[in-house]
Amino acid sequence: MSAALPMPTLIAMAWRNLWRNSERSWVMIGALAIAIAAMLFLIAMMRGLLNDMSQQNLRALPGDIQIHPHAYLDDPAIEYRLPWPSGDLRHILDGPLVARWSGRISVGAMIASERENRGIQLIGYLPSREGNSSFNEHQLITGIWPADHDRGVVVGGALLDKLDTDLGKRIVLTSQGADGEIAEMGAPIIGVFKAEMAQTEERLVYIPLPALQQMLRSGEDIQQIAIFSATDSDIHPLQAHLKNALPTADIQRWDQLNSYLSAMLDSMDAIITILIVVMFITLAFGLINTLIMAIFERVKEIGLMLALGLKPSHIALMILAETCVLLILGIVIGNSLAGLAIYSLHDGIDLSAVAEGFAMIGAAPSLTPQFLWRDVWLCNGIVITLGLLCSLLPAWRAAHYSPIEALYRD
Amino acid sequence: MPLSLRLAWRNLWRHQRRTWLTVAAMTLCNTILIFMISLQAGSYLTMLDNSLAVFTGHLQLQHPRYHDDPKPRFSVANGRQLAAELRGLPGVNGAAARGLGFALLSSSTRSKAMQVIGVESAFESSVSSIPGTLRQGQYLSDSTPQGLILGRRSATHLKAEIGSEITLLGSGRDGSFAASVLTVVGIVDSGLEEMDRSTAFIRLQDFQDIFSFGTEVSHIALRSPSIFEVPTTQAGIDQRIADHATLVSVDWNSLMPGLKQAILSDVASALFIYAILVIVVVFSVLNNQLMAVLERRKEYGILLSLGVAHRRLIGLLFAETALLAGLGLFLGLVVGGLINSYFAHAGVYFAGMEQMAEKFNLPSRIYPMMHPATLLAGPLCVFFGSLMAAFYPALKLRRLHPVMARAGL
Repeated sequence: MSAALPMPTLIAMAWRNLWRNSERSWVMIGALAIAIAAMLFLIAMMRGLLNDMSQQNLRALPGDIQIHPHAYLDDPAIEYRLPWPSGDLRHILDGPLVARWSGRISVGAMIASERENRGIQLIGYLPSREGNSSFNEHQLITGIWPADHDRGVVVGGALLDKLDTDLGKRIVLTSQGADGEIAEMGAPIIGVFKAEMAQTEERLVYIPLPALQQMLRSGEDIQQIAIFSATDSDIHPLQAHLKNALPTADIQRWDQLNSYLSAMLDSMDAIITILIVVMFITLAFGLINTLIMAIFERVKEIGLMLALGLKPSHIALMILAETCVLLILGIVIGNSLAGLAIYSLHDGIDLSAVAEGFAMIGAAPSLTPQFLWRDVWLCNGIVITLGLLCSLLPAWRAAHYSPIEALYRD
Repeated sequence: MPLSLRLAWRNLWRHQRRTWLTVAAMTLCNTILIFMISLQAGSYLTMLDNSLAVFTGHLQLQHPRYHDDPKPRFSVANGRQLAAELRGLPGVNGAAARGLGFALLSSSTRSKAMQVIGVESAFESSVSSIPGTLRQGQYLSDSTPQGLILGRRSATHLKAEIGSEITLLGSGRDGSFAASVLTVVGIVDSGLEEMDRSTAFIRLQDFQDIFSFGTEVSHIALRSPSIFEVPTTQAGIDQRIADHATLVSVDWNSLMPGLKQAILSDVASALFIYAILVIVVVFSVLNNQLMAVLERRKEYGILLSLGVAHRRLIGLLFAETALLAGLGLFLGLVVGGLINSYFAHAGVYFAGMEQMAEKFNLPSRIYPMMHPATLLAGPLCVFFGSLMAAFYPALKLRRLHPVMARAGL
């Protein structure tokens, strides 16, 4: 029996074998690199889009966890209210798991200028509790954001146009009061905001909570408690705590609030895996072909090696090593290309030409690819695993040639 | 069969396994392309048809300023009469005038700001699918004066039932006070959450009274026999309204620009995936043909020495590539076509995608479109891409010197 062939020798042989037909190897590496780069780039774009949709969705009323009165989400009426937090709930909210929290009211209302009227969503909030500017990423064009005890409203630029009115003018808000009677209030427009999506500008009107509570005659009651987690880590435990303290309310994480989004988020990993596998299977035919040809043209040589006493397992290992080097080169080049592409777009791609199309799925017309290490591991892992699986059969066949037959094959 | 073609065919089968692997890669890629493209085309058409059928219609006649600035004062004069005339035009499958306003609707216990739409009750169903989604009661008609149709969600919100009285408060076209008491006669379920939450329908004549519209309307919605015939219909209508300075026709693409853009963005991202798939397969073909040329160097050397021109050999190489690609094309069409025709009947069901489907007005079962274009587009790209891939091996072949090649160099 021959002595064990050291691994470095095997790898050296595999490396040299690869470059005996360098063009063929480069074509294969090129195909691998392009496919990997394209997949990683596409995944980053999809993640970016989904990320943007989640953010847009939350921008009007952000919060890692949101508490609503039971039935409110199906029927957002003023009669479903929560008392201002106290007792156990207040204890958790003021505890270490929560960075900050706030109470809000969000009701449908009618806004009327002297010329026009429109249906809107009226959002009552406490500026001091919303971390000031971070509450609202909508940009203020003119005017100011209110303080807690102001009595003015902030409207979107598009709504201002529709209402044919201006900053400083008075508008009349009409909605239903907590007592069931019509509730009305006049208020000046003190600020005008700009949003990435036109429908946000047309639908949302902000007002300080105390003024809205007074208009709706709802006392200290609120409709939503928004909670911002103190850490970036898992918010499930916090959700569980809150459920214990307030079993009758709807307590949802941000990713549960929009069923469309949560369905998308849930299926994202599956979609990515399917994409990569399909792409790889198409690639695999070429890979197997390359390996088979590489072995085919070396049958005599393999026969000679076997005749000289090399173990079949060494032959198989050599082929596997050759595949490995091929895959690793493809992966390194592919990942670098994807990295470059993603980096060069880190400021976002301007898609304002199709803004309304993106608004339909609730995304802003600017797309920034989102890079996740998880996706890199997933993509490269699938390629390496499936690639080595593909090479098992050719390697096994090569290892089981009969030395005599192989030597005399022409 | 001409000699060169026969030679190419035989060359192809000198390495059976290699040829089949490459053909298999092409077939798989073609099948995926056929299925995906047909599925997308099918879902786009369904999405367009369903979205426009709900309310918007294929075309609308409006005041020239209404589209950018939908204020009540930019209205269409004598709308009912005009709609009646348009119904007689060829290429118009349906036409109905509407009035649009905002008002606060109140039941005995609840109030809600809603869009109030006045419709021609006899003709609304020719331009909108909403009348067909009636769940309770009856639709508006001449026998329902001051009648009101609510969406399922808004009826729940207002705690209103058939027969409930609803007070309407708003402002009229001239800025006057608009108020009325209406009776709920029917409840519809359009399937669109936003529509069901915030829209109510009344008869156009009631609308014109309540909102002081006189004989004016906000727009006239029109339907063409199909979305492809909209330009023809629009041309006919434009001719008809040429002498009205205060009328323009607006097509679905301007009315709902998001639809086409959503489709275009989806097409763009899909094209990216398809392009990569095609490139990967083309690389496989390139490798296949490159190996063929390299391993036949000696043989080419002999042929060249015997006086065969380079271009004959190159022609042979391209014939071989075309046969290879043609085989992939044929098998791809057979497999892809079979899979497609099965799903064109059975439909593709996306479990758990109902939310997504509703957002785009899609049923949860989508039928791929069987059309020569959707079947051939992808496979033809693969075919011509494969032919392009033969250029590099052909270049190598061209550089072969008879003597050197015979020595295997």
